[in-house]
Amino acid sequence: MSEHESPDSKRKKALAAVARHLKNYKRGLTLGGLCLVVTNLLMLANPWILKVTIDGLQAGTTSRELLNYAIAFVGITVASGVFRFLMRRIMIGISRKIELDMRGEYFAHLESLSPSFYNQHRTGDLMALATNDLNAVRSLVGPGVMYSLNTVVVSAMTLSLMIVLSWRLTVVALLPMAILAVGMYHSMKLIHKYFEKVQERFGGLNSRAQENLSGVRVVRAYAREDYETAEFEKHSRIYVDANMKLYRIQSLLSPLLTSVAGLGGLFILAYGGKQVIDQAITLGTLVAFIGYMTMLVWPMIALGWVMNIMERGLASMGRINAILHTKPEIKDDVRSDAGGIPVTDCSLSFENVSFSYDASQDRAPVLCDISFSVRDGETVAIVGPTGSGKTSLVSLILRLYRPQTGTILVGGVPIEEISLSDLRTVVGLIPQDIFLFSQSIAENVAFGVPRLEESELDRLSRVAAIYGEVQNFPHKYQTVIGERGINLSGGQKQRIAIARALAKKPGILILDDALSSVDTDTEERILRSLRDEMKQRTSILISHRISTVREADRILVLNEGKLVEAGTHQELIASRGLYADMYDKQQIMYSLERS
Amino acid sequence: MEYFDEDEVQGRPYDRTLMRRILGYLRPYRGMVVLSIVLLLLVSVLQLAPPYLTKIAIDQYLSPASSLDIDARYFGLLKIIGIFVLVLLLAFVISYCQIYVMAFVGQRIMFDLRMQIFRHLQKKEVSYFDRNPVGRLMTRLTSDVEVLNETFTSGVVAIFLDLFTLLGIMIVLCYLNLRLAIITFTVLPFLFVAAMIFRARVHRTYRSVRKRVAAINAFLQENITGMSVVQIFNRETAQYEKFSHRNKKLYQAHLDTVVAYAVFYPAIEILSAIAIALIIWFGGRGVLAGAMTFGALVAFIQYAQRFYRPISDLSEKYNILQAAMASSERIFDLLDNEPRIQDSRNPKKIPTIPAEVIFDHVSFSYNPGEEVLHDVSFRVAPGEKVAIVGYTGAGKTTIINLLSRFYDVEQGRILIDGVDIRDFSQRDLHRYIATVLQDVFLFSGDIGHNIHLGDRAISDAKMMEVSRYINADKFINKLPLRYQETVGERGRTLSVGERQLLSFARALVYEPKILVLDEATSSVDTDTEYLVQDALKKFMSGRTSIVIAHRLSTIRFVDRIIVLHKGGIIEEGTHQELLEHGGHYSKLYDLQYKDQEKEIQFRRDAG
Repeated sequence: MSEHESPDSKRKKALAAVARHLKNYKRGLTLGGLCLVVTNLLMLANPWILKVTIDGLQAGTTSRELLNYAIAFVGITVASGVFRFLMRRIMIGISRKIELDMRGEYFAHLESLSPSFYNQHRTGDLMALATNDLNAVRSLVGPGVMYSLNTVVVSAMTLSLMIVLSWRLTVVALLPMAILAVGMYHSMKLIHKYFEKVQERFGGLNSRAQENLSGVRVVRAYAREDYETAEFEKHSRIYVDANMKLYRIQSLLSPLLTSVAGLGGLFILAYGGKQVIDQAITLGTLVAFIGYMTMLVWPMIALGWVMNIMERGLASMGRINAILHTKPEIKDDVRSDAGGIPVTDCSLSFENVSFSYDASQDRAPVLCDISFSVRDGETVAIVGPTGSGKTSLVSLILRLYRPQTGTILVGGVPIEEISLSDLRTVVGLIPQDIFLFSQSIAENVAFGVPRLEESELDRLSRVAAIYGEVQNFPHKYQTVIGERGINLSGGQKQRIAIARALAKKPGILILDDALSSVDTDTEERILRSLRDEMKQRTSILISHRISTVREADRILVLNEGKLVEAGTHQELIASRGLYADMYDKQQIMYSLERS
Repeated sequence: MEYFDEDEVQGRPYDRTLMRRILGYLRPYRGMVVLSIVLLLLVSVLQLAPPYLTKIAIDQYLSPASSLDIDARYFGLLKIIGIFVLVLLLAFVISYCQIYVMAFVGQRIMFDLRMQIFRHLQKKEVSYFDRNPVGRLMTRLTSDVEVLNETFTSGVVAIFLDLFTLLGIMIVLCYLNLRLAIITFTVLPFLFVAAMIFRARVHRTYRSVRKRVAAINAFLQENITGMSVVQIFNRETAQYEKFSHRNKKLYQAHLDTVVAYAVFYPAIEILSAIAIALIIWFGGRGVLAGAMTFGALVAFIQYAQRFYRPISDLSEKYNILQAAMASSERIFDLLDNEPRIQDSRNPKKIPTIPAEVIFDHVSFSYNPGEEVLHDVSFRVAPGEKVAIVGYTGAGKTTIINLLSRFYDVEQGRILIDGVDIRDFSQRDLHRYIATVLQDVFLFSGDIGHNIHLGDRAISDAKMMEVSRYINADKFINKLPLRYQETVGERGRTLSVGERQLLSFARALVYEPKILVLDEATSSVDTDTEYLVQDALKKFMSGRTSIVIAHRLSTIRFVDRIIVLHKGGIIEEGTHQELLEHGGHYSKLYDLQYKDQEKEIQFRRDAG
């Protein structure tokens, strides 16, 4: 990732990324730029018309001519307005289009990233990129580009016209600009300094509040509310102080800009006035000059604003880049056209597999030298205490993570040689943490398949023992889950997830503690109906409940990442090892629960 | 920190009552606000001066029609320039002051609002924080407050500037030439109509944009959270299509806004051009007829050009106000949410001696219909040590939550020395009862701060004495800076056992009369384990103690054990009695404590 990159190369990369997106709309931007030039050219004519009018009035013009000038003035503004409309529509429209592209690109990239990425990034941060940061980039490629181009074009055109009118007067008019540049330079330096202080204080205030809110129980338990409030007030106060220090300088900026514009007008009036008296220039020229000066003011004010937009946009682009440049840890190693080796039989084997989530740390691996195999159609159970590595083991089968050493084979083929989509079609997982989408139940069950017949939906919900409950929901299968619809219990969610996994008819079915939230009777019932489904396919059952796994063909016992026991229920009970111990304890647990 | 949450994205139309409430925050600073508005008035007058000065210069000294001689003309021009400089200087100083004053008011209001929110949060019941993630509350304290500030500084006040400027221009124009002014004003109704249409249009598109942004963000958030499901089910392409569809709909809504703005600005410009054309035509003829001066004509044109800026500005301000509406509504929602647990009006004095605790037919549920405790009654005598044990979900933690008044009982009552705990002030109650929770929360300050929690009444000597007594000084003294050692974020630098000792010291330094403790389940290395056990015994001795026990040594040490099962008490007695009784407890013992016995035996053998 780009954390160790220098800010300079980060900035360069961000610029390149912005340029790449702009390049896609080269023709549109050229057209928009053309409109921008035309509209400004037309606008230049207006002070000129005023000049001609004034000079004409002095020379004694006719009212017929006056009418022509007035009509020309409106006509030119209308024409310029049309081009201004086109300019905005095209250029800002393109920025929205780029926003569309980038959001799509961002989402597509997120889809390619594996769980280890999501373990390191919080959803809130990823959302912030898609909202705040994307918006900042949008401002850069839209108003940012448009106004900077506008500033350049208007300044160039206005200045050249002013020079044509009177180069002396131009020099005089621009003198205040030098003052502005010097003033801006110094205040910007100060502003930067004070702003950093403000940010620092803001951080302090923030973490103070965050800590108070996170530790609310301690604060309450020791009655520290007054102290905490006083502390927060202190931080709040110094934050305000820092801000006021910043404002002492920042409040200068806007009056400074206005004064410089005013000063330009003053210089023109002083020097130009003298020239009018000396009859070196006409009064009309002076009026036109004042008109052009007015036209220069807005681009000047816009300049500071545009620079701000640019900076913020580039910083955001850098942050987005960091995500876009994260390489997917797991990719299709086989070319998609080759499709990989098709899966024909659904046997599964692990050969000396070791795995840890963070290989750089020298903690004990999560899985250590695991080897076993499951025949096509066999039902194998994996049990073990919490943290023994059961869930990690099944994540490896789906290639959600990559083992550091060893090979996993499906149908005798190493999973890296099977295309990801083939592998994930064959393997159906019902994970421990059930995630359902806030859509209808029907859509959730049919999530993994293009379409699902009503009859099949009925059958699946019967197998998953959710049929009866669904029939009682307000809109049956069309009932929406989540905030906009009904809230499901943990057990209901698990059963819908079972139906969802079965719908895609996987060759290998994995239940990762998928029945933990249903009571033992329901579990019994689901297992009975699932047994038929499991007979048709290779099944792996993970549970910490012995009752769930006792009827499996074979039971593997995991402890601290190692495979410690294997055999049938009877064999394992007879051997009096970890499994038998777990069994005894659970017998007590059930009696506790039942009592 | 940018924290995303769903209510971030809902737009809100202008709301009068809400606005009135927002403006209420200005009240303490009305002096400064008035000053600021007066200054603004001056600024807009001064900003109107340059075209007028230009007019005088042209008419009296520059126009060829001027009857003055050259020297007088030079001198006159110089005079105008002098006034001009003065005007610029004044405008600079006054507008600086105005901006600064308003920034000050904005900062003060933010300060007030932040403190109000923070104080309010200090009173909220603990369960409120279970429902509202910290990130969301932080957004209220930071970005929402910030948005409101913008409303004051660049919104409300700047509207005055725009209005003053408009008014000022109109007055000057009337003064210069009433007839021409009236002719120029004929454009005004059209200008206002255009602005109205624009406002209505933007309002509509704004709402549809907000709605679609909300839709796409909800989709994105859901898919990021459930990304592994998407991947496991091979749904990347299908979800992308859905995303794309929402993305395109948002794009369409944005384009509507783009078109609205793209039409509005040229429309305003054209209207102002028509005004200028009218001035050229009527004013020019006036000059020809000698009814009007050159300077007046030029000034007229300059003023007319300044006319459209305030109008388009006013339309922009409307957007700022809309954002403010959404933020302020969220803040007010928070503030209006009254604390559910409140102190009684006339709190009783809390006793100063070790007291008896009585649970009297207490029932409680977190969610309606799911009772966690049902009709629980027990008594703990002054100085008695009682352990509460039970299988997961029996309701042990709830007993702590109720006794500390993190939650209020639904039925029955809890008595301390015969007084209902709701009759004490929460503050007194919390100083009286030390609650030690399973997860030790550490603040980011130093070790000392984490013990005294900022209470200046606790001397360093006292703190050290307690730490020594409770065995915490052993590890503290090994730290380079001892009590001044900074605790890393969430105390990552400390082991579980060390954190527990620290939390004991924290509780004991406050000299509580009642100890309520949720023993940590996670195992601790052998050395620290011994220290923790020893500390616990010292801690409990002579103090009314209620402890949720996870350690064998604890259940052996206490005077009495209460066995909780499915929200009710099913057995009571000493460890030995209960074991002999052979009921629920003996099964629990087999399940949860017996292994520790083996371990102790093993260690004894090994050691």
